Amino acid sequence: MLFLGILLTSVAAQADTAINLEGVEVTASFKVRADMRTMPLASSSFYLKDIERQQIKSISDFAATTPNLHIPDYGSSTTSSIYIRGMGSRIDNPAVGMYVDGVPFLNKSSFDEPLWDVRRIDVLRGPQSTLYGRNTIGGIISVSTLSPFDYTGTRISLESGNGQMWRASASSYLQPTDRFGLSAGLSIGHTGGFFSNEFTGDHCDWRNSGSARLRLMWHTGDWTIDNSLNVNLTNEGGYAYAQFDTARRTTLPITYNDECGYRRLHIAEGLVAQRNMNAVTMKNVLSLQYLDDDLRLDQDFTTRSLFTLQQTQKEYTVSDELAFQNTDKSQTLNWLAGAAAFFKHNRMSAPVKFKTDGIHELILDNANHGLQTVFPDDSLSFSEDEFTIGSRFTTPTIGLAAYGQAELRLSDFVLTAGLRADYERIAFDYANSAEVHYNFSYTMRDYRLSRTAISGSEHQTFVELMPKLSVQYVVGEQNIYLSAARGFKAGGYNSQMFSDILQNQMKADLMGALGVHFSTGTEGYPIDKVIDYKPEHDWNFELGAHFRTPNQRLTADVALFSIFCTDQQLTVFPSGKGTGRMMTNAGRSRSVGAEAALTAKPCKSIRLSASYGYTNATFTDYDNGLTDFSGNHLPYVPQHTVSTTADYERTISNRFINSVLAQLRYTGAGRIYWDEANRVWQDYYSQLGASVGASGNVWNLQLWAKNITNQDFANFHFTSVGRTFLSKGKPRQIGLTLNLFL
Amino acid sequence: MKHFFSFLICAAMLSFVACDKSDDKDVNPTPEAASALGTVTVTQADGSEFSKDSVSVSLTYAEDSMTITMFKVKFAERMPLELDMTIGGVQYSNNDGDIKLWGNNIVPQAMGGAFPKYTITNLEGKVSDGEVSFTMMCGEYPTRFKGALMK
Repeated sequence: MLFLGILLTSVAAQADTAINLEGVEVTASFKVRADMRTMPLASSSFYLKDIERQQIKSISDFAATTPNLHIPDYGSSTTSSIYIRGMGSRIDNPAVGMYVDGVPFLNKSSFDEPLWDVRRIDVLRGPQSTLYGRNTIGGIISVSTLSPFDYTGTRISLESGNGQMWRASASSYLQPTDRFGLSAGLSIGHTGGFFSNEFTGDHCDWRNSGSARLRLMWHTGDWTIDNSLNVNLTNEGGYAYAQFDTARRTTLPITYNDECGYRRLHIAEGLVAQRNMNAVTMKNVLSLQYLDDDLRLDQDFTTRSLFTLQQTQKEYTVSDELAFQNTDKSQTLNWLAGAAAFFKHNRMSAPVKFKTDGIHELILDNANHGLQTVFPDDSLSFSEDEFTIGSRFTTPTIGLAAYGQAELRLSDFVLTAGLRADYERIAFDYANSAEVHYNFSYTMRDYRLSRTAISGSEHQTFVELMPKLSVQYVVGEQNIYLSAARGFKAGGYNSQMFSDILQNQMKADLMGALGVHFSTGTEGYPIDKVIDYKPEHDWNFELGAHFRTPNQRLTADVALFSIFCTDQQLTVFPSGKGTGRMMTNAGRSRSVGAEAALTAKPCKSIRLSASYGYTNATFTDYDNGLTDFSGNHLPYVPQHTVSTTADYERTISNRFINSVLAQLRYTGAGRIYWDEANRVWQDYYSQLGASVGASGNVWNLQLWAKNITNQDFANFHFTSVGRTFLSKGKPRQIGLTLNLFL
Repeated sequence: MKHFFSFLICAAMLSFVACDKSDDKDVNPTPEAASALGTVTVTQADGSEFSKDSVSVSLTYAEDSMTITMFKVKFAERMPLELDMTIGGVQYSNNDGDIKLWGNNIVPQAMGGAFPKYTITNLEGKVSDGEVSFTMMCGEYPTRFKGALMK
């Protein structure tokens, strides 16, 4: 402590921490105003102080404090399923767009990366497809990191907590000249995990992560150039999936025998060039991204050796967007126009290994059950103890878009109209095969080879028009608006169905070779019916308002929305003992709800904020051929989201301490249905969080806690091989964070 | 003498006729492969009958024997599976398209190999006038098939 005190005292004089990060225009906000409360949309923004006090270290950390935003913590960063106002996606294309420093992340496998040195996070709720294009049907999350023009100096953060958690980051922000700035940083972290796999006796949800960031910025004349390079690496265990007894509604211990884990390398390079001319401002965002990941799953999540998956993918993405707008925003007519293009090439390998128990339970037992009614002393068998269904997929996608938006100010009214045209072509090449040696003891002496192969090539093309219209009435700091906007989420292909497809085809081929036909049918899946899914569309109608008292002590935002969604993409699990999962278009659904957010600053030291979101999202027409789900609630969508925060910060005139602070947080979400049939759900649950701390010239120290009451809740559900599994939310977390500003 | 030469000429002509195998073929050629669609009826142990319609049967012929393949056939209502069963080595005779077929103690092929459980005995049948019909004991089951040739 003495050493720390000397260190802090010695660097106090040279530190520069006097930065105001709220309301600063950023390069990422070309399409929106820095103060989004003046715009006809519903949004939430988090700034550096909020982010640090609330211990926001990943995108799932701020979900609970944003109305109608839900990001289940899967216990792995494999994928991020984000739900806003009932619009969401479990697999494949996201329903919510993600931008980091203006660079679009097109694959949601790269969404969940460590957040550090983040200066601002914006969440735009409701479809933003007119300006942002595909896969923003639910909204946008935009993350802006610190830049050398926001801040200069060195930041060091050290953190430790229960669950064997520690994180460390160090970054330097330099501005050698008025026109040039650069920053470089490194962050590493480890979590030992909270959940044990009883089979191995070890924690299953451990995680190691590391990320590096390099940013170069130039201001030269009319130009601003911002080049950012982000490299993220994660290596994780996983998953804390426990079997759920649906009859007794109890969760059994986590216990599975095969290795699970996830490794990912994601490199994102973004070059943002902006030129501010007299009449027109131009901005170009060029990005190159590389994603390389490796997912290993015990797909049955039991102690039995049924089957495992190893899915690896390599994805290359290049995107570019060029936009123009008028520079002087005080004009009667403001406009914005742009064009965008991207190319994404994904190559995936997803071999499914059937092991001893899986061969018997999933394949042979079914066949022998029928055979042995006629031949009780004989059976079908494989010579292999395990075999692999090999699957390879190549998915190139290309997209082109053009858009424009005009804003007309007429006295107190602002009329906004926009339109975007998107063209997208996605191709899908697949090659799947499996070999086994089989024998039917009644008729064969030796094992015979059976080889099943499915390969093919498909493609889809979409042309979409996404209009937007709003009317806003503005009086001083207050505004009320009415808006309508159309959103679009791209269609795609069900690569995850192929182990099921091939497994069924293999059974059919085997039985065909034997000349046996079961009355229940052994024919494979009709590939053309399960392989692809169509785009999803929605119309969002919204009535909202933003209020602010002149002294800015009280702000309030309210919104009422009604969303009509057609061909909503939903993940369903094939009936019976299927092993795959597939996206299907659910027909039609409707989501109606309300949002309210209130922030009050009754005095200088206290800030109170509360937000509430209500969503009633139901299928209006969804019959999957087996069951009519019309009228049921959409899965994974919380009906209520609640957040309240009380902040106390008091300035102290002290040699070492400048201020002390305390924050108390309450968040809640639920009820959340987990399946289309609404048979499994998580009731409303709440979590209490708190932090206390102090700060000096060059440091701040926080003791924080999350889920203080150790609330038991589930945040994910799925079925596999006829069994239901739940993933529990993290238990109580307590930690200490020290930030140094040198 | 004149009668003797006439006899020799006739005998030579007759011998020519008898030695012309192509003329033999014209009388009893190997029938072309054919398919039929019909009904299999199996008498159950309790005396009741089980019938399955739309059973496809293929008939292929060699010089000395023929093969009957029955597709997706089952022998009892409660039998949970249907079999493709091949009965080879069936004897036949062809008289101007009227084909008679018969066989005994034939082990059929099914499920990838020999299938003694359904050993065929007392097989008798015919193919004539566009119809196929045969009866047999299939293991313990008295079985008959009647169907129409498909063109």
